[in-house]
Amino acid sequence: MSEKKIVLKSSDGKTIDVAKAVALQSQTITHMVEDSCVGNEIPFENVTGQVLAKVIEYCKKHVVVDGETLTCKTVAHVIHTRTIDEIRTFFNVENDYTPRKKQ
Amino acid sequence: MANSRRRRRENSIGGGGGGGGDSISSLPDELLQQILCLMPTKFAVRTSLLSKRWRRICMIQDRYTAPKMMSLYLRTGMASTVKHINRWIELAKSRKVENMSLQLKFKTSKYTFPDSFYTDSFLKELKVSIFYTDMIPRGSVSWTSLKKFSLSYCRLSDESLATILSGCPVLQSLTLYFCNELRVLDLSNSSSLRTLRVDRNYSAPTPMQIVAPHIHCLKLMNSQLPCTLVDVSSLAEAKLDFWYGSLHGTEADSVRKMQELLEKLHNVEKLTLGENFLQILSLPKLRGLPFPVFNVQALKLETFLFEYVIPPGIERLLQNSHYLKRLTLHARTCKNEVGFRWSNSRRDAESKHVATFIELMFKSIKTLEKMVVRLKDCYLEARGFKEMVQTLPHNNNDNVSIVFSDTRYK
Repeated sequence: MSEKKIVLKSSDGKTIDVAKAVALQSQTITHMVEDSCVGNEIPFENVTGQVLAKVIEYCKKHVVVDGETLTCKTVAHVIHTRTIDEIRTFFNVENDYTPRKKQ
Repeated sequence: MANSRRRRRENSIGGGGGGGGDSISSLPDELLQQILCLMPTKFAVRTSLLSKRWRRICMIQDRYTAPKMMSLYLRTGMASTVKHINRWIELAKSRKVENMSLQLKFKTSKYTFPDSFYTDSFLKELKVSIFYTDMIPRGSVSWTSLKKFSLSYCRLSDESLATILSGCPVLQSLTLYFCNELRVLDLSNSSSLRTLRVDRNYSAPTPMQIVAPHIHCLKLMNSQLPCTLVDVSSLAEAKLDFWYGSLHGTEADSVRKMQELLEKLHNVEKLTLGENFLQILSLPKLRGLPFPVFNVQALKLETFLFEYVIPPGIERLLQNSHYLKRLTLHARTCKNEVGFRWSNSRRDAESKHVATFIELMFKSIKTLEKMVVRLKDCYLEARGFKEMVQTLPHNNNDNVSIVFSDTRYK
């Protein structure tokens, strides 16, 4: 995965570096990127640095899976406690391994 | 349960490895790695079976800081692993591990610790068992946070130990188990050291001297040549025993060595003496042994309970303990005078032995406040035991309490 980072700029001039993929977890940021991205920097005119930092923190700890917002801990719990087949079914992961040829 | 949470979505073609528009597979690698960090490695590694992408994600470790590694426990004897040990040690160092236990038992291949092993500012507890080889730091040692150090089976020389100790300024506890090459254990420069434990090899042929002016607590297991305690002036608590209940040497030699030992222990407040130590104190060849006055306040004796007599060594010990407040007898089985072990079916009669022994003890000690008698629980349940307890002399002396407990609890 690439090292693509974007810069979020708050209303009080603070900048936060974040991996693009992580930032795009937030719908709001995604829209901003689509609408008003200047180079790599996204301005948030009505959000302070402190709030922006919290938002990024939230993005890092929550993921959207199948339309549900889950904490990373919940996802980890599922992976920890289920069998591989159950994980595949639960998260709809396609098995792209080719079966080993029998001798 | 899972079905009610899942909402079916149209599968998109391509993407990160199958799945729906915002299924887990569409999450970026960074987030999936973060999720994998939240579970034990064993389960995280399992996900490599899910798909090729997941396998790739498992392999990448450097993207996120891994959770803190607390301790490294490494135990091996296979010669083929020697080349990997240094990598494990480097890994532990890079993760700022605080607790390391290394058990290396190589019969033929030798292993030498790398120089970098001896410099570590995060290590707090280190335990090394290194059979058949020794630990020789070539340069200086710098274990600035090390508080507990334990070394077993190592052919460590006095000089190597001195080098190691000079690099441990905050060391509080030292354990040396079967390090037979040591002659003089000099701990005068280890000002933080409070606890010392030395187990000598039962067949150690040469004696050892201990110079430890700062220690408060000593646990010593002697061979048939007892250690010489040159300086233990701060000692408050000691637990001593011998591997065997006999001593090497002439009568004069034995008396002299035991006299020196007892002199060094006379100020210890809390003293525990093991079975063999007590047996040695009662040996005929130590008849002429002069006993110092003991300042001990809490004395614990691991002994058999004899039927009609207290062994002479114990009797003299008690007679010279004028300040004894608490006595604990830790007894495993009862013995009659000739030393037979009573079988379990004689348990009931043995409770009388316990009573007699305790009465004899009382005659010897004036200052006693509390006596604790630890017996195997089968005795405590024996018939007649409760009745025996009624007859004990504590009824005459209100200040003394006698407590019976079983030997499971130290």
